[in-house]
Amino acid sequence: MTDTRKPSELRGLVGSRTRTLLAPRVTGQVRYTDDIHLPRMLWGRIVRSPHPHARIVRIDATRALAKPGVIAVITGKDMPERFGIIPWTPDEYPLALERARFIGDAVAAVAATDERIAHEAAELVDVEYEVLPAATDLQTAIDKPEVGLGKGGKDNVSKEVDLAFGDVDAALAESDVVITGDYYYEGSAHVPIETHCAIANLDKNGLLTVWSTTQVPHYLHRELSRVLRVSPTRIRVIQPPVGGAFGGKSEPFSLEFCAAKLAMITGRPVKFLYTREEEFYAHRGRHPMQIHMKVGAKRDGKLTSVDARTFIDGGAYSSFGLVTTYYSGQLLTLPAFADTYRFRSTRLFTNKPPCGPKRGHGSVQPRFAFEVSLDKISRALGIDPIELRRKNLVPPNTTTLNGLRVTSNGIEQCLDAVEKASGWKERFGKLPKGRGLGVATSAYISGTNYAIYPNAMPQSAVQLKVDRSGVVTVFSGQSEIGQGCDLMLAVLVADELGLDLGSVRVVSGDTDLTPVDLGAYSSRGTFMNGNACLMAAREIKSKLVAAVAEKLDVDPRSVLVTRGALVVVHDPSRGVPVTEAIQLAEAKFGTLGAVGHYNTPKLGGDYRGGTIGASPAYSFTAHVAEVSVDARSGIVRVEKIWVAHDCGKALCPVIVEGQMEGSAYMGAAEALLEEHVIGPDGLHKGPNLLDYRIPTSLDVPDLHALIVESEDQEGPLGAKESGEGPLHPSIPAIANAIFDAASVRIDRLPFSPARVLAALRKKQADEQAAAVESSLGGFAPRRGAAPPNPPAAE
Amino acid sequence: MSLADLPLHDMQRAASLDALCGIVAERHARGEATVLLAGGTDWVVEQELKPPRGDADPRPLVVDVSCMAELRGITATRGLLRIGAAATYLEIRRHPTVIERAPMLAAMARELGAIQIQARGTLGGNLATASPAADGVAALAAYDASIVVKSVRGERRIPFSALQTGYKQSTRAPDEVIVAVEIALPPEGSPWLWRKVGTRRAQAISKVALAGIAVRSEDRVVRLGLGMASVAPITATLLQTRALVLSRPLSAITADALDAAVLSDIAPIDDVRSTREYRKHAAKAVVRGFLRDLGAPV
Ligand SMILES: Cc1cc2nc3c(=O)[nH]c(=O)nc-3n(C[C@H](O)[C@H](O)[C@H](O)COP(=O)(O)OP(=O)(O)OC[C@H]3O[C@@H](n4cnc5c(N)ncnc54)[C@H](O)[C@@H]3O)c2cc1C
Repeated sequence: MTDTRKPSELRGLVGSRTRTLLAPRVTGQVRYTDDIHLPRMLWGRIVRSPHPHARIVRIDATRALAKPGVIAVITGKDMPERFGIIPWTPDEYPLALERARFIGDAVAAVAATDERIAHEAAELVDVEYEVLPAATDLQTAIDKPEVGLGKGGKDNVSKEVDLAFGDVDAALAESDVVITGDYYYEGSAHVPIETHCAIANLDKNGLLTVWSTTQVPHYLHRELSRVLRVSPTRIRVIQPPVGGAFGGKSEPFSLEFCAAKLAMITGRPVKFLYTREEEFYAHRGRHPMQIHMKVGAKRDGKLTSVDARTFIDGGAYSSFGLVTTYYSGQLLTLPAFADTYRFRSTRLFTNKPPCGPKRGHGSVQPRFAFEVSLDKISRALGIDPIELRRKNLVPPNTTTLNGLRVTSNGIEQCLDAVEKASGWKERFGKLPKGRGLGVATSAYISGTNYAIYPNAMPQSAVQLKVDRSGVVTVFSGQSEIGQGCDLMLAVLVADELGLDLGSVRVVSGDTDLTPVDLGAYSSRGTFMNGNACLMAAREIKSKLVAAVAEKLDVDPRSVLVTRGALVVVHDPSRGVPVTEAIQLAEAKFGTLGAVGHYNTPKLGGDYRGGTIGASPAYSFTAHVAEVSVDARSGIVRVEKIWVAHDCGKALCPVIVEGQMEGSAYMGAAEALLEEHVIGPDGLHKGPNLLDYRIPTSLDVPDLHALIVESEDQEGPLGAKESGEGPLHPSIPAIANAIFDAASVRIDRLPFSPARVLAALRKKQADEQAAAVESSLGGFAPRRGAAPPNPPAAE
Repeated sequence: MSLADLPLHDMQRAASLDALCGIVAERHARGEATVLLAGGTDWVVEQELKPPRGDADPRPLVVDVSCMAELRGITATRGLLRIGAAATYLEIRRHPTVIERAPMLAAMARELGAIQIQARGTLGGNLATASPAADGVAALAAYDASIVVKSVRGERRIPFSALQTGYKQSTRAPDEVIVAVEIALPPEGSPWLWRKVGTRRAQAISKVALAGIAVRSEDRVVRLGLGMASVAPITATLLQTRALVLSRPLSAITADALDAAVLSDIAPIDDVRSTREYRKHAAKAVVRGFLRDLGAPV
């Protein structure tokens, strides 16, 4: 059953309209990593390469070490072990060993008695480089294999995926319309307000503790152990609350290794805090993608085929690139798709800050190309773009062309919701010139069954500790990065056990205290930790029920958990308060505690790479964007965005709405403003917040979040993801709205005033030329006739 | 940037403007630099962009002028508006006389940076940094303001038209402190325009910004001030454009002539904020917009 009521009308779970646990965030009480100061703590600073590609000939730290206050300097030779988030592609050293591969690549690190001295000392480390030829854009990386950034040094290829489903050529040949387009998706950065920070401390018992702004404490734990050659039993990773991540903190970074190594060398705690500029070098932001895409359809709007050739600009290292390359094709087959499909994606290395996962990893870029193609098809066939999508929806409880198992699917309700809320039927195509509406849809994973390193252990686990005072503590390895996942677990436990929210505490992100969770990525948190948490909570619940049933002398099946008390179903006047129930259960069963875990069922297509993109459940989204295009300045303003998102079940509607709005905001920013651009010399064009433009509060469009609930059969109480999916349609919806407003297609991001203006002028010139041609009766100008006026040059 | 990147500096306050002039002059004579720190919103940021200095390099003395009484305050007497060099944009945009009699300046101050910058930034700093993208300078150019400067040699007024000599170069001597700016107020109700073309609605350095102020008499503009940011190595005063508009009735101004005049007045470049071509287009468009508001058929 799908529910499209407004969030405020939904039957909320306990605390679902509150953000109690988030109050410390907005009142400045949260202690972030940088708020931690340890006695005798040193400050670290990384020395970075000024060349996009260079061999490191020699590093001389004499001058730095001579500076008063400088305690130690380390180089690549101190940690000659490669790491990488994907076990098959480790290609980074904590500090570059032989070659620096981008401007900003880490080559040495200093530790000093204060931050200022560390920064000054870093300038005194003398590094001799032999500058090498560089590739700072996709085309050079393609044209100049001799730059040799790939494995083996013979080309610049990072990963290639080539998959086909069905006979694409035949299907295209039989199509009534085939839309071919070239799309360019510009790179962008995550821009968390909190920059990367790490502190390491080696205590007298030989335990190395690392506090980090990571969103993957478990993977960091493993990699620290491997690279530092220290047993994992001697390492503890603590992840304090993180001030925004968006995927930019989902792998280990140089600073964690350097802090740990320097702490081990000096015997003193060491802190690193990246500056805003360094944040742009750490990067792992959205990959620039060059996409050539063909989409075919029959006259009735039935899609026949999709054929995509994609080049992905990976930057200097692999990062999650293997997955990115698959995601650039695999996640396109929902919600509306064709019968046949082929994609070939090549990720290339370039001498730029490494790209990685950003909210909507790998799939936001092809989604732009595809949804704009659909808009073009709808124009070519004269079919309403919402109708066109409706004709091609993949139904619930099916399997897609590429083998993705689909469970619940509320995309139809999403489309209905945005159609109605935006007044689409009355307004699309009918707005005054310069104003337009556009639609787009998408689907996204709720976690992936691809554990980053192969193993059969749970992907998420929790422990519950029940105190006889009535307090329940949830221990979870999950990463609270501002998305509210701690609150989510509290809500589930409180609801299950009849507690109020204030009686549930959540301890998360500490490898000594909490069972393993793989991390805050691929929108897996609510689905996986939620299910693990329910499993544990239900075990406790059955004990409470049994104890209460015994006390009241009734059948356990007639005991119901309500808010605050366990009561007899047919006689609610008979009941026991929850705290008392807990005490009865503790007396009956002994100390109360439970563990719960989650693992995905076996999923995915039966072919190489068929598990990448396979998820236990998919979320669905539809956007309608309303824009205005000023023909005189080329300035596009997004006036409104209606976002309908099927999150399965909104456990906490306020948070779901927040995620939807945050996603749409971030998408609109990528569409209109953000550009992570590196010049041909390898230099970042503006690694600061004045030149790298994220929208200010004044630039945020009017956002309308419409929650759709499809109640997934496998999600915790029916829930699916809501943190990444709602971003995807933003960009194509805006692009399509620009076409509705001004009849120009901008197939390249961002839709900047200069680009829009150039498109408007070209259109005007083309129309003039066409008018001249038709005034000549369709014939070429006769000999001697004046040639048509060229469009006025500027 | 991290504040840790800002090396330690000696810092002090001066007891009076005269004392300040004394300090600056003395140090200048010895070849030592002095930084007058007002809001710090330019100077602190610039330090990050400087090549690293060794420990031995002399650092300038920083004198905090943000609280110096002689540089603060906003007053209006007999048609002359005087704004202290260290008055902040927030004070400017909230000042009743500015709002009433120099609304263009208030509009400029409202759109400069965002509230945090407005609470610290000053016209003195804007003028001294002399970035061609400076919004405040563009507004002062349109008002044909005078810059009041003072040194141990005494006080003098530099008319705006005599201020700029090249990219970040001016006729103000290195030991002259900017004390205030003075604006001869146009008649009440004079048409004005502040149009900033930025990439976002706040915290955006202008791609192009136009400050305009006009005094109209029937079908003619009899007094016209224009200042434009980000279209040349210095703040553009658009003299050709001004001359064209003043030379004929509004009804006789054509779009082509206006565009040609604007293009002859500017020399924009490509940079991270925009392109040369877009700036040319935007410059023409904003000037046309202003003239259209004044009644020209453009
Ligand atoms: C985030 C951000 C956004 C910004 N947005 C804009 C914008 O939209 N438009 C714009 O024009 N600018 C903008 N700026 C630049 C800056 O805010 C302005 O130029 C501001 O006017 C500088 O004033 P200040 O008082 O902070 O100068 P300071 O940084 O204190 O000083 C700058 C220079 O002026 C000198 N100086 C200061 N006062 C005097 C004086 N009385 N006499 C002689 N010399 C003096 C100083 O010695 C120093 O060299 C922005 C800056 C930031 C950081």
